[in-house]
Amino acid sequence: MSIKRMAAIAALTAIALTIFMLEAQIPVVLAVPGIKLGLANIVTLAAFFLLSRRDAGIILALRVVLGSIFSGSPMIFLYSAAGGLSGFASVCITASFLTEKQIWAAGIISAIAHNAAQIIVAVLIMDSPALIWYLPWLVIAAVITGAFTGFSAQFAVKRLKDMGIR
Amino acid sequence: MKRRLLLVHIVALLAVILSSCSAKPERAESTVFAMDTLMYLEVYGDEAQATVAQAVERLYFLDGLLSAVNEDSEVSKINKSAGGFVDVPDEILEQLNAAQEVSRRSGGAFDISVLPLVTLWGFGTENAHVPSDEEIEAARRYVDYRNIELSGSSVKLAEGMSITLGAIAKGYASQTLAELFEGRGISSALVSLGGNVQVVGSKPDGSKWRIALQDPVNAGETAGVLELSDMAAVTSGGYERYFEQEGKIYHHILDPKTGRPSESGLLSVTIVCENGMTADALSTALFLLGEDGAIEYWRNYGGFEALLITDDGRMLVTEGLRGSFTQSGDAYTLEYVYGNGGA
Amino acid sequence: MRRISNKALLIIFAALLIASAVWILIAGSIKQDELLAEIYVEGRLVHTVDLSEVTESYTINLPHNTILVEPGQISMSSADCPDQLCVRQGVIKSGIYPIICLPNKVEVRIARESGIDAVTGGRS
Repeated sequence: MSIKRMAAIAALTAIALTIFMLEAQIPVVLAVPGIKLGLANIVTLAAFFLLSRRDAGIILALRVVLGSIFSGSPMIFLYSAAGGLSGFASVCITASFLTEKQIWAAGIISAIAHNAAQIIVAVLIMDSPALIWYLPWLVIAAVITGAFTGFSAQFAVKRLKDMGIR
Repeated sequence: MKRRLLLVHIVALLAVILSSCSAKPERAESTVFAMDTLMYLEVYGDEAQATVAQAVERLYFLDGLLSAVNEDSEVSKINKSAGGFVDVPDEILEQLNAAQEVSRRSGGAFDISVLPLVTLWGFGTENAHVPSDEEIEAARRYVDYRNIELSGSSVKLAEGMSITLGAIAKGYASQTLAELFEGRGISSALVSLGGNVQVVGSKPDGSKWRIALQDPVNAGETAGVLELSDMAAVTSGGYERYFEQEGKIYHHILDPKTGRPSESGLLSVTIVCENGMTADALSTALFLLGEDGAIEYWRNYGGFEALLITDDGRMLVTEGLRGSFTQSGDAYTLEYVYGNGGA
Repeated sequence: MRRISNKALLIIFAALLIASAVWILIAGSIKQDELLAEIYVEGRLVHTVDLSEVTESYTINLPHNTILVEPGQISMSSADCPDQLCVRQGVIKSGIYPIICLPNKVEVRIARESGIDAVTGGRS
């Protein structure tokens, strides 16, 4: 791996981590378990389409691990890892169908996969199938936040490419 | 106009008369945290509110008296005085006598002097772990109910011994409350002290109290329902408190003979008996005795009914519960147990 | 590599949104007859309350959460978890959404099973 790439990955991880920690401080609007803006995903999505899948995966993994270490809760790691993994996998699968102008769609897809995975994990940990009733709320929220982060990533990727950064 | 006014007055009068006729008994309930668990009381009758308040006072009093953890409790005093005689209040004496009788009858399966082992294993604390064989043997030397001497209203433990009333205290408390309620003319009440259930009379509408049995394997599921009046129902099960180390599960019901979690083949034992204290002690004793020992105890001494859930998927119910117990679902194969001369 | 048109994507997402909305409407309309509230800690049932029999409000104090029981409804009045989602959820009085505090593994829900007055053998 070239130094330039390592530096890029490190920088992006730092950005993603910062966004993740800051976002945790923002109180959420709707009182549904698992709801969040997921802004750190902007970095993951941008890296996915700008750099390579592997780089994006590394950044995501680092953010999840470090994020849960800093927040001090093994529970957060479990939910974060499950959500992050599904979100990432879903984009891997669907990315070949999407163009650079459709990163907004990737954002939505990964947000839906992320939230769905988290609710399933919650059902298993809490041993409460009743939680599944929250899924539709999370899907709607995912479409909205996913579109936002997706568009942001799309915008960032376009700008960065125009500036000549690869 | 006049007629309408008259009508209103008549209706109002009727309403007042009718409402006082069908007055439901006063109802009071309370939920408090005591003896390290959630305690729920529900009482019907005259002055229900005052009775509940008195009951709660009694619970807090007993909590302070019996806690093995609290340094100032009577039990702690007994433990600190090991080696010599110490006077104890009636509440403790009653429990000691009852416990010792169950110990004798169960051949030492039930033993209140297991505190050194309980403390060693650390159940209920963050320190729960599997002790070494040497540590277990060292602690086990101090476990033997026969070295507890009772004389008049004094107790003497042998040097190094310590006792805990944890396997009998909640039952004693529920029995105390039941007697309190009956003394105050309450005809319908239910208490659930951390899962130790005891009821006075039937429900206000005349039907029996319905008490569910937890499925020890499938969390949150009900294994069956008991319909009872004037009875106590207490369950002991490994599933209530345990920890996992290196993939193996260690539950909190320690066998005094081995110093380790009991491997008697039972997952849970429920005792139904008129006396809450007896029910509490027997639930632990019969769990440790295992299926054969438990049935033998029941046949020899009686005075209670039992439901045993085994680790091979069976639910054994003593015949006295026929008609009071209905199984829920089919997770277990139901078998009835009969007295001497039965099938 | 096949491509999906924007139109197709929009249709898929719109369909998901509609399906979710329908699911929510159905869930919201499911009412339970019984008003039996159950409190689970770490997956074990520790307490049941018949909300229809409650005449005066009172609180239940758990080590990390407090639960407010009122006539016909129940809610989490306070918790020591960081996100406080369980508290902000407000009251539940029927229906199937439970109140949960994920960090403390506490769950409050309205039960569908009826007629139980107490449960033996809880968490000790």
